[in-house]
This record gives sequence, structure tokens and C-alpha cells, in this order.
Amino acid sequence: ESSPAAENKSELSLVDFCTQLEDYTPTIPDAVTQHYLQMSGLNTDDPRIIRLVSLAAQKFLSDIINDSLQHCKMRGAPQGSRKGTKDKRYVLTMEDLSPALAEYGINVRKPMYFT
Amino acid sequence: MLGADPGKPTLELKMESAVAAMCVEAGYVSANREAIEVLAQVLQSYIKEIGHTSNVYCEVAQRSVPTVSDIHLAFIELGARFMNLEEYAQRPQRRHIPRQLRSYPNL
Repeated sequence: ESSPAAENKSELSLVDFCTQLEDYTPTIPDAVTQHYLQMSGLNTDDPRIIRLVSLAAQKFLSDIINDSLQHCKMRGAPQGSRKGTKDKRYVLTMEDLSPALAEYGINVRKPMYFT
Repeated sequence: MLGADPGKPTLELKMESAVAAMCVEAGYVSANREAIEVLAQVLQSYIKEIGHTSNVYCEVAQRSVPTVSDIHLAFIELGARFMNLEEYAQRPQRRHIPRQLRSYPNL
């Protein structure tokens, strides 16, 4: 449980942070985020709100990608390593992504295959 | 690895480009198409969920225009931690997709 003072502080810092977002470009284009927000019923033209959502979604995904990279490194994936060089070239595959997504409660399954 | 797929809507392609940029930023060199598509769907679903939850908070407060506080409440409900967001926004290796300019029409 956080105290009301701490909550108030976080709210204030959030408002400050939102004003900084006016001249910030997230990786996800604004138009894309705005479209999906509109699809879910949230109609807004405020770039601060759109960028805040973009940034949060980006962080969520970035955490998943980093987790899958750790899985890839732990597996010692020999797949992408070049001969002669020590640096490994990591390739994102479903084999690493599935356990990373499962940690976030997302279970990925392949569709049924009919011959 | 993202080849041109004429059958795909532009928004999905842009989403996949954004996911690919995030993968490169994390340290990947290449990715399977299947993995990129799954991540793009996860991203799409997450944005929709934030939008839906914020919209509910907005309507409960008898407003039609959402405020930052509605988004904040939605983030809390989804379990997103706000504290690291500012730090994440200012990371040095961040990338953004340049806006494509329309080609000059051939008259």
C-alpha cells in the first residue's frame, strides 16, 4: 500500500513527464497508436496521451524482447554465430519468445494443422 | 527480414517495423516473421486494452474527453509500473521510424 502523499507525488511527476512528451518521438508512430485507441473507443487528439500510451506499450514489449534475449543467451544458441568471430548474432525465434511471453501470462500456440 | 507484403494493411506493416526496431535495439540481428507477427499482435492488443480501460474510467467520471489521470488509472489496473517509464524514455539507444515522404507524382 502506498501512502496518499507518495501517490500525489507520482501523479505530479506524471503530469510533469507528460509535458515533456510533447517533443518526443516514440518508436511506435502516433497514427498507429491513435488508430488502435480509436478502435477501442478512446477518441483523443492529445499527442501527450497518445505518446504516453505508445511509450508504455513500447516498454511492455521491450521487456518481453529482453526476456527472450536472455532465454536465447542462456540456451547458448549456436544458430547465428559466425565462424571465426567471437560475437554472436542472435535471431529472435518462437522457441525463445514463447517462454518469455508465458511469463507475462500470454500462451502462444500454433493453429491446428490439417492435411 | 520484413519483405514487402502487398496484401497486408499499412498499419500492420508499420507496427511490424516498430517491433523490428525494438528487436534491433534489444540486440537481435534478425528475427523470424512468425515471432514479429506475434509481437505485433501482442502490442496491438495491449494498446487496445489500455484504450478500453481508460475509456471506462473516463465514462465513469461522466466525461467524454480522456485525461492523463484516466490513462494513469488504466496503467495501474494493467500492472504497468510508472516509475521506470521516464528512465526508459530517455534511454540513449532509442530509435524512431522516419516518416516516409510521398513520392512525387508522375504527371
